[in-house]
Amino acid sequence: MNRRQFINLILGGGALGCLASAVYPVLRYMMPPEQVEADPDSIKVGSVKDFPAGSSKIFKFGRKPVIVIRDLKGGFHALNATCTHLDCIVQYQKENDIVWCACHNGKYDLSGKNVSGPPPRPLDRFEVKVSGEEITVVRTA
Amino acid sequence: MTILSVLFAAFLPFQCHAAPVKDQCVICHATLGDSHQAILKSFSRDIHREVGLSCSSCHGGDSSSDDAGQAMGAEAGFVGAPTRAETPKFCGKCHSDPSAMKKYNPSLSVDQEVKYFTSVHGKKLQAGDSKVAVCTSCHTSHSIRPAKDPSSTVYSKNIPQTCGKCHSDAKLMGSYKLPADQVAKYTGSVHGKALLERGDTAAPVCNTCHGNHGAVPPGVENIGHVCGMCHAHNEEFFKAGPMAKAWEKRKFHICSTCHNHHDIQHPTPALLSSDNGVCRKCHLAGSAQSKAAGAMKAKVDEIEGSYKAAEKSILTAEEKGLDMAEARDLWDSARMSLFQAKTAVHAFRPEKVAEAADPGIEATAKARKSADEAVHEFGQRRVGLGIASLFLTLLALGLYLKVRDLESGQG
Repeated sequence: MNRRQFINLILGGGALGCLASAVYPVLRYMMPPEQVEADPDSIKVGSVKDFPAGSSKIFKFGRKPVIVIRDLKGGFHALNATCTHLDCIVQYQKENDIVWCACHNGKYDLSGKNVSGPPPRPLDRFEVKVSGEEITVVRTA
Repeated sequence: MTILSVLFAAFLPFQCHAAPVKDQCVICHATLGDSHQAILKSFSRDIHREVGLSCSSCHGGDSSSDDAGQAMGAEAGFVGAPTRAETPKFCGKCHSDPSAMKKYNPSLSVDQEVKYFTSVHGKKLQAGDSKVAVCTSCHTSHSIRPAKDPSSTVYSKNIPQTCGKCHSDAKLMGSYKLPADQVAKYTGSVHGKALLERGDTAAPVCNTCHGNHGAVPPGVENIGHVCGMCHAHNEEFFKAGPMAKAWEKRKFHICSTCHNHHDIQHPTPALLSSDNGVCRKCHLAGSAQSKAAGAMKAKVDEIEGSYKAAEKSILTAEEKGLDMAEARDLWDSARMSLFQAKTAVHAFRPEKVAEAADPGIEATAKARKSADEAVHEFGQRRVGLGIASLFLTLLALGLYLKVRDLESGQG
């Protein structure tokens, strides 16, 4: 290989490499990324018949768990499901019609107010909208 | 001196009972030296002063008279400072009287004095021991603040220190054949650290377990209920499990037999160790019970290990500026499983521990995989950047050589 051929090889290799370095990120950009969960303002959680009186379900509202409760009288409530004491996930206790944290026996009423045990503050509330049969949980202002 | 004392009284934020124009107690006592002035200064922030009470409200006397004999005479109802033995009844004049308390704080209970005389302190006082704690030992005499006020001696964060004034006094406690290390032990316990280091005012403190006005050591039958106030599931599992009867038969303290009391440490799987765990206090090595403890330990070890490993991977990724929101969610859910697995140990059934731990182990594996993949991709990008830079350098070098080659060809 003479000097000129060597120079051409460096030039050609460098050009090809630069082209590939430019094309590869473009191609990666065009490929759909893994779905990242957005931070929504509302989520649909099902229909009224999915929630018999005295039942509850936990949903992801963006990144945070939200507990949707249908109380014994048929009313709907939605609360942040993360206990304000040490971040455990709360649950609905049908027998006492309260929200309960199993970790340290913290209790909240259905409006989210901390009523007993260690929780230092209430659970954040969400609005529940019932439109026909469909239930939507909406972030409160 | 009189002018000075009047001026001093005028500047003190002090209003007397029934709002007299001037409080002769303050005017005179302000002239009686530092100790009296210190009392007046303390009382200016006292809750009783804030609700409009004055010296004479507690000590009696006539606060409008500048005649010491008349102001502090028996005819004016002067009772002076109570002895320690007299203190509970002295405070109880109002605090045990519902109609008196309604005027100032209707929601405050009026059973403190009754409870006090059910306490070890109260019983000893009645038996003639004046060294025991009375109202002022905990609440102070003239700097009394509501229990929810952080400056109060009975605010939750201040209670260990308040109780420790006596209970850490080895000489005093020695006279009752009591240890004086409870506060030191509590301070190093999981509860003490939660309260004093993390500022979690929900953490239990001396009076949570012992009561306050009716302070007594919790008995064998009560201790489970006391711990169960917060650790409800642990108590429930234990009482429904196979150990409850054995504990009852042997008069073991439900919780403290394994966890101690003042120096309760954060429970680790080591408690279940078949070599030197707490189960070995009663169960022989190689017994079915010891094997069950080993199986539970293995499962708790597994979830705790995977939980810590996932946290390490997530932190590594986050240090590189990578978004680990999804992995954090998985890790959070595993934290619940870890908690539930440790709670399930109190049922003494390995399958119950596994049932609680397995979803968490799965979640931590996913979280760790997600974090590790993100870190791997981050590394790949850096390598890619290096390769692209190399090609750019190569191209620049090639161009330079080409230009020189062309120039030398022309020459």
